[in-house]
Amino acid sequence: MKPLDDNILITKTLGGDVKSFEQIVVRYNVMVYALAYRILKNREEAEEIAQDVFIKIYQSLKSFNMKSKLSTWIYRITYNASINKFKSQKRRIETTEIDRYAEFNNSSLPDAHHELSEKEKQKIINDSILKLPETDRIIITLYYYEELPVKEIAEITGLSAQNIKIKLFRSRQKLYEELKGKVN
Amino acid sequence: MDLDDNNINDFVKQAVKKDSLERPGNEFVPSLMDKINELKSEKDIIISASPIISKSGWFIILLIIISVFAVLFLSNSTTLSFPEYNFSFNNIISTYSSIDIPKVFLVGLSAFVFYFIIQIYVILKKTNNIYT
Repeated sequence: MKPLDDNILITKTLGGDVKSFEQIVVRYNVMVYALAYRILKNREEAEEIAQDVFIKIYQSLKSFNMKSKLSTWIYRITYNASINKFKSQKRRIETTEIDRYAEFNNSSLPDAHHELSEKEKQKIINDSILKLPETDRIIITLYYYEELPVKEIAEITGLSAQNIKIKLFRSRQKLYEELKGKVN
Repeated sequence: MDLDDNNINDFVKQAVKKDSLERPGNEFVPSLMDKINELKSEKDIIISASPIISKSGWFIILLIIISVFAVLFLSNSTTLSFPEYNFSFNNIISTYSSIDIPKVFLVGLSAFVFYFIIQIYVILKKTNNIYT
């Protein structure tokens, strides 16, 4: 069965059908949680933010402009909520510059001759992304995982398209430097 | 070997996979939907709470007020008198039977008593509907 369009789900939700809202939650919960996690780096806090985001969306669904894209709206709320939480905690997670990442404890890596499993590769990739500055993590996630265009990422983050392009360029250079030789 | 930006872009694209995103726990959606259902119930209660006096009620009240004022303005006298009842069985009361009361006061008092009784009746009815 073809999944229902976002706008149909919104209309049904506004008509009192909670099951339709559940479909919206199922559709977007992974990305909302992942964005929150990639800013906060904490599972419990990310879940809490993700729940708050969906509750906020449910409560303000009436004010949503149907001409806009639901995903952009949801991701913008998630981004703002996560960044606000991050700032309010004043918990500046020390972002290890990947350029200086040579000090990484190589002993924790599997033997070079040992074939890395998919899971191990993914862990290395995710860990590398988490070492980027928080906004760059979100940009990389939205661009490569969600495959959003630069214009939409600019709308979500409130940054200019040019700024996004620069950050993307720098982030992928850092990721490449970090990942080359580890992940094929 | 260093790559140009396009090749690096392809490298990163290949490296990241959507299914590798961090996922919330299995209980995330059910527990969220419980909260949403609670919110919906609260919202339903708020929606069902209609005003005590309905639109038609206000219309009737407006008609009564207009009628009262119409009577007031159409009448020539400024005071209303109690009818001359025979209170002879009680001389004390009979002395007050001819007291003149301003018409405006009498109308105001009657309206107040009328609205007070109506309100009590309507509120009791509403309260019974909510809690039974």
